[in-house]
Amino acid sequence: MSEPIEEFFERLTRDGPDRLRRADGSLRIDLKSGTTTEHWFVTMHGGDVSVSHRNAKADSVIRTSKDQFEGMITGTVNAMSAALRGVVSLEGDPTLLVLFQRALPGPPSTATRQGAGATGRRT
Amino acid sequence: MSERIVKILDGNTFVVSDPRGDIEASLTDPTGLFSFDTRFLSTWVLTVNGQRLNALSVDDLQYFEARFFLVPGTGTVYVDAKLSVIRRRAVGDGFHEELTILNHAEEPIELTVRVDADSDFADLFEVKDALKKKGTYSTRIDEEGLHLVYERETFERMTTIAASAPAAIDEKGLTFVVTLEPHGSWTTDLDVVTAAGAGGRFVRPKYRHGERRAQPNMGRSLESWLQEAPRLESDDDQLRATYRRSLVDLAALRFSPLIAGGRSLPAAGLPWFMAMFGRDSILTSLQSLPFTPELAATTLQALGDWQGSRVDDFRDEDPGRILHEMRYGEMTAFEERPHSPYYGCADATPLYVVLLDEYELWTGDRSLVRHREHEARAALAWIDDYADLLGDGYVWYRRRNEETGSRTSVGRTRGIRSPTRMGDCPGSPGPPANCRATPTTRRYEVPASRGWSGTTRRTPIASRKRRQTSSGGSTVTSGSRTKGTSRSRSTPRGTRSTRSRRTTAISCGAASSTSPRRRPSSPISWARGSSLVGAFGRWPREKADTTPSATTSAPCGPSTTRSSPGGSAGTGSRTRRR
Repeated sequence: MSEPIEEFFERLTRDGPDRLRRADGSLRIDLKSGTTTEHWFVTMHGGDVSVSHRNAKADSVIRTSKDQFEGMITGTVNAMSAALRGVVSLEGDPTLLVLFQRALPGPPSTATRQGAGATGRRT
Repeated sequence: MSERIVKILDGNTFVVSDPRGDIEASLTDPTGLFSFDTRFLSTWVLTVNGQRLNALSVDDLQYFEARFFLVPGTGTVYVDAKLSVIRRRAVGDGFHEELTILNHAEEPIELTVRVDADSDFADLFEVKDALKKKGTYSTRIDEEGLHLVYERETFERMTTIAASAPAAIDEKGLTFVVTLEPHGSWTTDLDVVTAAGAGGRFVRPKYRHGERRAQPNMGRSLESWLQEAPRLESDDDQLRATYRRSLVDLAALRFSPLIAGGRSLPAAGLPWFMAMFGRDSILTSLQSLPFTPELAATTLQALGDWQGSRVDDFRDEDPGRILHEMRYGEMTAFEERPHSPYYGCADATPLYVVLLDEYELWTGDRSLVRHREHEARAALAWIDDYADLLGDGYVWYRRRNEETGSRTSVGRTRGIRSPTRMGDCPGSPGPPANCRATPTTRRYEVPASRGWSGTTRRTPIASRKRRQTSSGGSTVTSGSRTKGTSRSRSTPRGTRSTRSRRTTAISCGAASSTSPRRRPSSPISWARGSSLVGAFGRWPREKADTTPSATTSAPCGPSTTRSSPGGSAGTGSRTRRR
């Protein structure tokens, strides 16, 4: 198993209350690498997130290559654009898939941006 | 095109043709069969014995179907009155066309009927900007029919054309050899199906031969949509016709995003803007709240689910920001356009909070508002943390995607006016015109003591006092049995009724004997106002109001009395301060 992906799912269980509060259901992510397929089974409920490697039936399924998924979790690949291109296939509850995107970061090159309102210029 | 075009649509699938029913598109000519922002058919030309046809008339039967009455020959005087050609077309998952030819002569006749077909698979943005394609085209003929295929790396789109009558199929279309007896007729069904992949099973279009009942891509049919809307009773035929037409047009504007679970929201416009737009979907939802509040519920749900969660300069996305536009075409797929979705819009986010409040006011459905607490708080945080670029209490707009993002806060969509330019961004690195203050933003407070826990936000902002332009008109009452009592615009569904000065009334469902519903205490309340008054038919209050109710007048006519946020017990009213 690749390190960034493991770290992402570890982080997911910690960040769930912030990022995935609205998601409710199960999501299986099938990651293909050569002839092998790695399964990640994520259950989300009110911000509680648990992760396992079960290859079980889920409300939604994401199928893609390991490389593409690494791109998604590092912000270099946009999940929606990748799905439109056909490099990521999505099945099941579309709402869950959209909400899961909240756990994915923006592009790494994007400068952190905030308006003056957040920097205390307004009185 | 200079001549009249005929448009029929079903969600984001639509056909634009000439009055003959023909499609002869070019990269710059916006006709064709479009679905999910891709043109799946750019040529669809009917000839009989090698001759183009002449249009006698067109029936726009419904928003999803049209009928073309044609005769052979071109020009102002047709040359052969012995033949009639009728094309009846219904759009839905591609389109279904019934082609019928009638022989009015006493003699039999042999005809060669030809339908030329092709597709350039242009993205809507390519049509708009006349851009060239980057993929490859191919055709395939098998027992299902003619397949037109476009591929670019892993991106595949396919159009399949099938006929019910025996046809000779080649790569450029279908040919039928027809023998018509005296006063005989011939007919064939033509099915055109769109697909996102080049493989897979052939799926028929939504409509079959002889089917005329609307089958929208959503839970409610056109019939139930009309039946469940408030009823208008009037002795004015024109008003009744206008009201019904408005409901049908609103039904045509419905769009069911994949995440809406069969429910619908208003798209931005048909046919080119049959997509989810933040501002447009919200404003139409606001304007239709008295009649079809479920549109607002779906808008709040879909836009809330797609709310921005990260910083992405290409998509102008920020945490808490409500999207501007969502598209599914090739250029979006390859990130040549940022609409997956694109967030560059100044007012969709404040408008989202406006709609949340108004929805609760009109429907009393507090559960949805509570369910969207997270999105509302994130939207408010965006206004303070990301939108207030100058720290002066205004929402400012400046795109970070300088290449393909929206230059102005209202985007580049046609037919929408540009915002007033309020001033330049001092110290901003880009051209001054790139930074604009939007006058369309309201401020809200979230009382910690009511409903939600959290901090109270009170943001001072320059109020804009506007002249009231009351012009009289119909009166909104809460329940049709409450004449002369305190009136509230906020009534639960099933009891609301609108009455005009004379003999017009709108009612919804059976008359209720319950007392008029007071505006429930809202978790979100007005603090300061600005200039969207005309759009909503309502005047914002200048500050948080503690009186039980306030009489307001809308520029469009209705005069209403609405309760204050906390006014569950009060009965008095007063004229709003100006």
